Amino acid sequence: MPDKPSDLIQGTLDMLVLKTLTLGPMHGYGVSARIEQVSRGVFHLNAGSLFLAIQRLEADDLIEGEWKPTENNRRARYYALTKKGRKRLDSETREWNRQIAAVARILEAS
Amino acid sequence: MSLLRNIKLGLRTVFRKKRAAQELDEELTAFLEMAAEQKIEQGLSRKEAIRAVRLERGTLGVTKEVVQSTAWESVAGTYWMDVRFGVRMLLKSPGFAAVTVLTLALGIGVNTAVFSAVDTVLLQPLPYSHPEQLMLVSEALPQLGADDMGVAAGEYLDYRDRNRSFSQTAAYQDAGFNLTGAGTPLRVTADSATASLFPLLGVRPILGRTFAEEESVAGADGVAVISHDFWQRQYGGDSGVLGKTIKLDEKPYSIIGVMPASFRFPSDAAPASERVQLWVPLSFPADLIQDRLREFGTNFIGRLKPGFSGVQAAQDIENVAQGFMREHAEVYSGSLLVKPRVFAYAAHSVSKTRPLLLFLMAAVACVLLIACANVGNLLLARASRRSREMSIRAAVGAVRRRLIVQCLIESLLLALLGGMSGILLAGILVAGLRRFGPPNLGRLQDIAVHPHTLVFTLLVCVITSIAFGLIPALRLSQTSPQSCMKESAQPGLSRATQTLQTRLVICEIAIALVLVIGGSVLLKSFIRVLNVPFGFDPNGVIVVRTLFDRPRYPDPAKRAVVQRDLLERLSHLPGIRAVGAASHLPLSDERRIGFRLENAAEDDYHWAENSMLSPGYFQTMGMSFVRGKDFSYADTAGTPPVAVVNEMFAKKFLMGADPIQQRFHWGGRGLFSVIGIVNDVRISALDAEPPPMIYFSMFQIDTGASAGTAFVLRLDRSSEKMEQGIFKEVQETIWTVDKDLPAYNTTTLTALVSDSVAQRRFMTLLMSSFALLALLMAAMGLFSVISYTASERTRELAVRMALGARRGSIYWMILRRGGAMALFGCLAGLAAFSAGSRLLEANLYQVSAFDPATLILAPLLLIGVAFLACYLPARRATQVDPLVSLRYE
Repeated sequence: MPDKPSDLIQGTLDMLVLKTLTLGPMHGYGVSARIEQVSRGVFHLNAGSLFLAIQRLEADDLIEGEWKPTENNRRARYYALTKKGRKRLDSETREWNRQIAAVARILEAS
Repeated sequence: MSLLRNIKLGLRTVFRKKRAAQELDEELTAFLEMAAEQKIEQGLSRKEAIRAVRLERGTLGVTKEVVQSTAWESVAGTYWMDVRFGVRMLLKSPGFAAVTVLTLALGIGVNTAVFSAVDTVLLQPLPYSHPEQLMLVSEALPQLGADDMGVAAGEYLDYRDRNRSFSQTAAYQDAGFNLTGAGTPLRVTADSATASLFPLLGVRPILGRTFAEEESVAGADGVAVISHDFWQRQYGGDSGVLGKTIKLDEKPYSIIGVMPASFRFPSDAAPASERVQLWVPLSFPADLIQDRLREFGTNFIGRLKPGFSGVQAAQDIENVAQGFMREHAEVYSGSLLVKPRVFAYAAHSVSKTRPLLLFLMAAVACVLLIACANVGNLLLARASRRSREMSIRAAVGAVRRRLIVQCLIESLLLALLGGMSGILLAGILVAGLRRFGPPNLGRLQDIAVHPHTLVFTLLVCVITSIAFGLIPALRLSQTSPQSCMKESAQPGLSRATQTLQTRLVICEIAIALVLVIGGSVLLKSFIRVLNVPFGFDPNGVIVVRTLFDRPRYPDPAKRAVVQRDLLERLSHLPGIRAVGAASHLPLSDERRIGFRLENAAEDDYHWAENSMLSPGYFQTMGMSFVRGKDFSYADTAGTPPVAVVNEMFAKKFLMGADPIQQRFHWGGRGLFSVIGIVNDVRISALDAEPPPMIYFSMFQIDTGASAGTAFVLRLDRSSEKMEQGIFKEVQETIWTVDKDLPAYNTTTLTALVSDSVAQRRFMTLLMSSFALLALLMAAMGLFSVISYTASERTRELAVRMALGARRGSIYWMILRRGGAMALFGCLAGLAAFSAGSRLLEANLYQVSAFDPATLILAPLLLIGVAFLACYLPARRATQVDPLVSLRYE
């Protein structure tokens, strides 16, 4: 099992969850599946980290949760982005890009 | 989610824990099942799929735990669990819990009560505007040994007109009246005051108005302002009271105003029964102004101008006095020089009770210290007992913070319980003080639990609990679990904790010793005071006072007739053995006169106490004649003036020659011959020296003070129990002769004597209680420490006994420890006592603070108590079977 997931910094995971929710309301498993899919298997999330992240985001008013039936008529909690969440995502993304560019510059400088 | 929503949800979770847990469960289960489904799609069996999912994504249980533990509501949940656990642990050791709570309650309750009393009586500001600006001016005649005489009428006017440091001045005089015409005749305490008094004090009446300047003239002064108390009692708070008329000494007064309940000038510090009930205008008769030094006793109060200090005012007043003494040099000559003193009104009204209360405060603070030390000891012992449990918890994975919190929670619970009991106790004690406190502790009725004090003492106790709960917790959480759990290790008490405990106990014993010595010395003083020979026999004597007011008895001859008639009738009442009358009684009244010996210089005056009596008074009081004889009814206004003096007078002024037939001048009424010498009595207080006294016959001498008459009646041995009945009969007799004479302040001589020592009795009682309390608490502290160390050493002692040590030596080992602590404590206590003994000196009577008997007996008592306290643990230690304790861990 790749050990990348445990190295994911807390803030980065939050950002990824927020980004995933921009596509529309999703339940917990859906978010985890999507992240795994888009990252092409680089990131595996365990239930604990994911739900902790969701809890943090909900506590900060960045996402809203609601119980809804799924396609299989099972009850699941669907989360959606709030306006505040959208704004936070934008700023986090900007910051992340800035940091990445800086790291790249340092690495390229010989 | 917003804060409010968060809190709401969290609260909902706390109360519907099950539902919240269920929901989370559902969510996580759904997650896992969806993950499993995906795996099944990828080709695994259901069982394998679930297992794989679990492996990859962490187990459900741990996940739930992780998620839940971070939510605040679960944090609260763990604390609640800790609290419940703490309560259970406390219930398991009821002795420890009860003792700690009791100690805390006593410390908090007693301290709050005493501090509240001190605050109400000493510190609360008087209800006047800017009370710190109010100054009293009173003159002393230093060469005559007279102090606090007030001022004379003419002098007041000079002060008023010529001072430069007061923005307002006022004068007032004590006055008492017979209130008649409204049911039973009453005696009312009153004050006459200049119109400027009420504006000076800055208090407005709640009904009506106060005096106008025009009313301060004789003839127009038939107006009165009544106190709130009087208004309630006489008129039931009727708002139509203005304009009603009352008769004071037969003169009609119209009520023009009612003062608020807090206004008690000038009896701010006096007990309820002595408070002024109404105020009338004061006017100075012209002849009194002219004859400058005829009478003192006018009180002078002034309000300092802003920016002026008391010192400046004193200088200013002194200048004015010098000025008028020069102007009237012919009056102020020889030993008749006045020296005015200026002092703050606020301090003056409590000056008598201040030392007493401060002393009590110091004593009770000591009790608080002991209580805190005890609680500390108890908590330390307890925490050490739990060290093994704590180390196991740490080994299993408890976070350091949680361990500390758990230790703290117990301490906090105890502090809470102790605090609540303390508040309750404080309330009870304060109510008790109000009811049973000495009557001359002014403003006693106002004592209420003072919130600041309560908070302060609560804080002290809570902080102590937390501190002593925290120290061992911190230390415990730092040691590694293994060292605590080792088989052979002695669990618990580290060296440092043990030293701390020992030091605490030594301090407790020291403080207890200080209080015990203080209490014993005070008790000894009190007993000495009670054993002072009064000079009269108070048993079975009742006192009834009345007043022959001037308007109805303008002529002393008429009054004398009524007095003789009353004496005659009273002596024939059943059960009465002897009757007498006096204008001033010992231990309740004081009257001083100035006299000049027959052959002394023109201005060589001296002072003596005075009372005007009927024949037979001395016999009734049980006093005896050293020489000469009593007055007789033959001594009247027409016959040569005679006087009886006491032994002190003879010793001081009549030395040498035969005292009988010596003569002196008084009051311009001629030469008085001494016809008898009687034994000394105490006048102002039991612990004051008997003063020189001059007695006159009330039928021969008439003065301004002759109107008040106190009848003393000595009861037959057989009727001593029937005092109440006798009171009524005496009243009836008086009313038969004159229905408008009030009979008031009926009491017994025994009660008078008892009242005069009421303050001392109160203080001794309190001090002794504190000493006893301190002793008990110190013993308890010693007991708990010794019993704990003894139980810790069970193993060692068992080994010793198995190796052949005798019971006696085990006893001795433990007792030695306790004895050493007691000894050091006593030494420290003696040192502390000698340092603070000065506080005590003022209250002692004929007993030195370093009374040798007490200084030896008290430490012995403490050491004895210490040995007692160590006895039980020592006994328990020796009774353990060595085999059992060696196996027991």
